[in-house]
Amino acid sequence: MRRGRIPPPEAFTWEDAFHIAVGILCLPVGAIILYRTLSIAVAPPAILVGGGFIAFGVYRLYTAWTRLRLYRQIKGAKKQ
Amino acid sequence: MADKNTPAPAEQVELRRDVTVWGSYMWGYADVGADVFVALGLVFAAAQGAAPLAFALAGLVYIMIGLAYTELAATYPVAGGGQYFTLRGLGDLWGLVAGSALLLDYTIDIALFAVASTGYLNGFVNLVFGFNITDISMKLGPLNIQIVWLLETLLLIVFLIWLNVRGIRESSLFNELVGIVGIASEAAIVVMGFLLAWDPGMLLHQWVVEAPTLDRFMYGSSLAIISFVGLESISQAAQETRRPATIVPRTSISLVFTVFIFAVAFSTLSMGVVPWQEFVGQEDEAVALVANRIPYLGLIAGPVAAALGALILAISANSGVMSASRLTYSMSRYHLISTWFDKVHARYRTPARTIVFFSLIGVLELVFSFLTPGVMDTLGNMYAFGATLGYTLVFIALIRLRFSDPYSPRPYKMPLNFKWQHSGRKVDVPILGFIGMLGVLTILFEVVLTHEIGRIAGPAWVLLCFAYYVWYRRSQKLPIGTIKRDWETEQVHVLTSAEEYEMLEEYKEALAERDKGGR
Repeated sequence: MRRGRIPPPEAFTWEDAFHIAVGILCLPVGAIILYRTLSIAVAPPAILVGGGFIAFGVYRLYTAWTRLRLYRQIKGAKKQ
Repeated sequence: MADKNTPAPAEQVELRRDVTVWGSYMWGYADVGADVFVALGLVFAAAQGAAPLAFALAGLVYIMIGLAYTELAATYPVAGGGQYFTLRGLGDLWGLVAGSALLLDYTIDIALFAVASTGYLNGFVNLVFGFNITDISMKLGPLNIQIVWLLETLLLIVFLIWLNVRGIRESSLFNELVGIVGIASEAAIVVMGFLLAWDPGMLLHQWVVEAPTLDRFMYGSSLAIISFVGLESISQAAQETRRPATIVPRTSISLVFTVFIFAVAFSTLSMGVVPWQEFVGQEDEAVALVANRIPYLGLIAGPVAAALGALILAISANSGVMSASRLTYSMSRYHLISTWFDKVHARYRTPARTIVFFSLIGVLELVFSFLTPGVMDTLGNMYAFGATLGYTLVFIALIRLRFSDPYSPRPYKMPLNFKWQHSGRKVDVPILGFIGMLGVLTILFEVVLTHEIGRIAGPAWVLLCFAYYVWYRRSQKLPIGTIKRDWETEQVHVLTSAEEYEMLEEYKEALAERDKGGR
């Protein structure tokens, strides 16, 4: 039983901007960790953390993008 | 319905619902954020070059614990956390065992995090003014007591008691303010550390060459689990959270990932910045040690990390005071301990008696630990036993409640379930619940094997609580076993007070359907 409890976005908020900033920051950090590690050897902890940063960054950006799209749809529907 | 002679939970005045989404998250973060500051050094000293692996394995188990707590706290949003879930799923005796195990952790939490907070504060003074307060000691026969450090810690605990007696609004606000600074600063240390100081060559060297022995690794990975009381705090605060069924799943799942990312990132960063041997003897300032190695920023980052550690550990100790008092409040309501603890302060509407009483137990543990050679070692050693025992019982209760109470709406369910026909109804059996239970049992096994103080003090504490329970139940002419309770009426009351009307309707419909079909 799951409900759509989180209300749809009514505005582009500071929280969304924060999520985008975090996502953008995580991607280069993860890429640098992976690049520097893999240029020496395969180290599981570093790959886990580097990959984790990239995955988290992608997830944050995806969430922000989805909310932005929903917000545009709602805004468009209101105009019509 | 309940027996006519059944003692109803005393509830003259209820706890206020004052905690918001951010407040709920911060109660959990108070433990989560601080854990890195305490656990990092302790785990590195034990698990050596495999410390990140120890954090990752314990973190995986934690994710499953987190999901179990998320389901239970959203379904039963009342004070009590793991103790309440176990009581409801497995009965009074097991509820007492879980409650006493978690209570041990909370009282240690108060002492351990308060002492670590003042330890970081002293580290800050040392870095800035070059004066080491922890060196000031007093000879007492063969003992050498760090008296100023002890007095500082006692003062901090008294302040936290006052804060919590005054009410959740004030202490939640305190957590929130410090937590924001904490999250931002920890994230900055991780990012700047990886960009400027991290050496993958050092990480590889320690990973390959400095592997620990099996028993050291077991000790390290069982210490890593001490990080995991944060979600218990959220469920403790569930009775004071606005719209808990909405808020608790959101904050819990966010916290699960915050914990995992910070724990694994900090340990991986540390292994590429500082040789593990340097953490030995400096467990109480591990994060400051790492921050101090960041080029250009280290001169400022070291003292800032020490000050941040002091602040964030103080909010964790505060979280311990809050959680211990809510847990005992719940235990007294269900007659596991005296109803004397059940009284809520008439003016502030906080469980003032439990706050003072169990914080004082934390003070006693603190004083005793100062009589041993390693203050933090002694407290940390006992910490894991209570958590692992309590979490094991929570997993069993989660599985049992899926069968015994399929009617309560679950706003969140642990993923990966299979259907099972039980008493004419299909029940979702949680596969992750079983895996999580095995994971926690493994860590409990490690604790019993490797924690010299914990394996004695932990069971002794639980036995002491059990002896008190037997005495109390007999004095009240109550059965030692489970008291029959009207959980259905209570669930209606809980959902009504939480203003979860949609869930309430769903619950009533499920009960009506069951009654129509015959029990």
